[in-house]
Amino acid sequence: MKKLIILLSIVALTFAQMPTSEALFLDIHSSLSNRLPMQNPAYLNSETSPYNYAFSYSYLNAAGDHKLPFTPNAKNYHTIEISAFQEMDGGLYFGGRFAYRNEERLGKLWLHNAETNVNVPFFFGDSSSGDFNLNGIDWNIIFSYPISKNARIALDVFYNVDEQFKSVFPKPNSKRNDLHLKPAIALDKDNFRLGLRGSYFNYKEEIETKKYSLEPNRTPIFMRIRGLDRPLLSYAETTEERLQNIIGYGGAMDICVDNILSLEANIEKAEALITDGGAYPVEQGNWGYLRFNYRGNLFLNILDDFQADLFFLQENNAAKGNHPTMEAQIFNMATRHFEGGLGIAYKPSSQDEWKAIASYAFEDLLREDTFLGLSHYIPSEILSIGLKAELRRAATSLTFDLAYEYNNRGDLTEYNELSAWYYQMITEKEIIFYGRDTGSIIAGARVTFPYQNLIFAISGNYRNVSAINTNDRYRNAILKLEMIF
Amino acid sequence: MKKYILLISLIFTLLIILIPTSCKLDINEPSSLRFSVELTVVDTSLSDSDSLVALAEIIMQSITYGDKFETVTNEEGKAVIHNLLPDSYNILASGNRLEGTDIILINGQMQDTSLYIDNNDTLNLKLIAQTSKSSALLISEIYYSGAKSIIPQYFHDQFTEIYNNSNQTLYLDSLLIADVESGFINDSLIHATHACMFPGTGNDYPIQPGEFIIIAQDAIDHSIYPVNTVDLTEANFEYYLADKGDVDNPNAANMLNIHHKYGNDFLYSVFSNAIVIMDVKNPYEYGYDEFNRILLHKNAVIDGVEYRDNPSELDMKRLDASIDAGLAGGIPSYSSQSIERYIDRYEDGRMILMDNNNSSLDFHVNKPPTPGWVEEATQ
Repeated sequence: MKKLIILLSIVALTFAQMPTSEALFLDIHSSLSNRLPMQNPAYLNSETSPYNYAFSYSYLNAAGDHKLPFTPNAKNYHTIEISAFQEMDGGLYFGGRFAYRNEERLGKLWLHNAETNVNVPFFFGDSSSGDFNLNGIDWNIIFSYPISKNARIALDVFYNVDEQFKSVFPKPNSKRNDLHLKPAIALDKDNFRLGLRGSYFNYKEEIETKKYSLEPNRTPIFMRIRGLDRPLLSYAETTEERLQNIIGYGGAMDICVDNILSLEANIEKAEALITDGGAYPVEQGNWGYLRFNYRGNLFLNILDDFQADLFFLQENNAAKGNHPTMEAQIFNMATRHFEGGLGIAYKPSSQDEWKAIASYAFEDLLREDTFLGLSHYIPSEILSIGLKAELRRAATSLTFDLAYEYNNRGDLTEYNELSAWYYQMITEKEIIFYGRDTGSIIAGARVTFPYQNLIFAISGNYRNVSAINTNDRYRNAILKLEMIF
Repeated sequence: MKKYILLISLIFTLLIILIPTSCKLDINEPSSLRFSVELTVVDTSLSDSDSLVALAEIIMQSITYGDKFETVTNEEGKAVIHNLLPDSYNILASGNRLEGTDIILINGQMQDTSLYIDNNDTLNLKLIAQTSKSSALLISEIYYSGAKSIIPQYFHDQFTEIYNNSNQTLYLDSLLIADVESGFINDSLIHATHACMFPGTGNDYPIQPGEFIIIAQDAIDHSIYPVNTVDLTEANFEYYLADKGDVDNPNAANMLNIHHKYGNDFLYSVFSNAIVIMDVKNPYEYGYDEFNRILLHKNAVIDGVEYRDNPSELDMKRLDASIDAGLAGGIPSYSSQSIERYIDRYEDGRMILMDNNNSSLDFHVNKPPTPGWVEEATQ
């Protein structure tokens, strides 16, 4: 069993899984299920429980020039977290996490929306740029209960509340209130393992600008962005309100047979309803999002100490936006990612493992504004090589990974007839961003060591994306300190 | 078991090999909701066969996106505009025809009209126009914006300029100047907050062909510090409210107050308003509305001009197409700018000002204001 768990953990660590909806819509990356095999809370038991108690502090810094126009110039996130995993009576297992976050988004252009990373340009903003400061708490609990000798059911509950302020007039304030429920079941019998997980989430964001009097030179231009061009502009309003309500459903399945074949699939559908105006609501359209992925791994023992891992994965995202009053689709977005590769693991001892991975991927992006008649399509090929190592000596361990990824963009197909100022200022820059060849260095390390009766862990992750033949780059670094009981 | 593993390995290897450049999509031109409009301007005063107005100037403006389309109807009276987005539009049409020796002005407007047809089709649109005649007496310039000075919101330098566009001597006696309240564009009556009458009993105040006269709010010199705008000491007339402590220049004849709802003077809004000059027999004939605004019949209007800080807001208009089918303005408040008519042509050395009864076409923005003369400007 332990071997299987380790194996699955390696699989989970080796290959990026479909981002959680919290990561996608909220830019929150820590959750208890992420620490479990296949992100399935029903796999929480005494063998998979990572520790009893832990305190941690993490710091994220991201900055650079190679970025989308609405990405802040710099991000500084501080997170303090306490988490625990405990076995209760009757085999019930409990996991809990409570985190406080303080986040700075510096030099953010126009948008009042807290997060804008789903590639669907349905936003609200004004003509200023400035700094945002966010304070929030999120908590996450898991109950995992055995219903038979070989099966467990579980429920994962995630809740977040945060508030974000912009320092620049008209000082928009964004309040988010988010809930995510994940019921799950897992079956484990005779080298066969099956996990099923459901998902329901509701992420609400209320944006409100400061009330003000109409003073000269203090009139911002408000923008309702709905597509690739022609935002709706309004002037001299004394206050603006927007509610974005994202409701989503999803499901996931994972299978592992004889420690040889592992398959995983996820599907998720979300819809965002957007309304402006508070007491006198005016619908502003809605967008929907469908994403799915699947991944297969085949593990083969090729020599005594060597194991081959052949893998293939596909991830598809599709979004569409609808006009608020006309029954018409006005925006369409699709991304696809196909990847295949080979990993060779070398295990000189039961405590050490070295693994080299090479993969090739094809991905593409299509965005169409079917209201205005604009579109762009960008294919690309990605070659990736990496090395991972895990070394253990008693209670001390060191893991590190290093990878290089080269993204070779293909020919751009663009239709931009009749485009106007917003397209020239924003969408063209987005196309340049998506269309650049890039080279990425990805590095990570984690050291754990005992001290008195505790275990301390220091980990860091670094990613540097450089646009080829330019001086533009974007780096993302995370440092995490943990005290584990 | 080994056979299965071999088979699965083969499938995986094939998948990896086939990932694939062949995944690339063929992308076609995206669809859009854009459509076309075929517009005909209909002059209802004529029989069907002649009713379509040829060579009419068309201005079509999207209210949400601000897109402005300008075209001219062809000889068959049709104009086609392509690549319109679904939206509410304001549409103006201005043409003319000869009736004997008279030029009949044909003006039409559609306000806040929602337009869309699916399948990128062509929408057929009829614009019903009204006819009117060019006026002999014109409002040639209005200075309403006020001045930026150390005195905040200075507007006492406002003036109206009137011009005799005909070749005959006219008389201003007992003519009326009034402002026009919004919300009554389709009524036969104008609702006026202020109305003032020229003094005289019939032939006391002639205006010669090609002559300007100035009606000042306060006929004093506003060109000196701290206002630095116009000198109105030579104004011919002045709005004067004796009981409001108003300025009185004895050299300027005082306009007679017919109705004054509020304020210390006949103040023109610095944002939006419409000013009309009227020939009214009895200004009190139709009484007042429930908000104490005097009612005056539109048939008595000689000339009218409407202005607005945002001249694309044609859906907010106060005057119908028979008086003014367009909107002048687009001037920031307190910017010392006026609106003034274009010069159309000269006849025997006499200047003829442009008068299509459409201030969008007839007026331009003027800085500085020019009381008593007209700046040469090109359209």
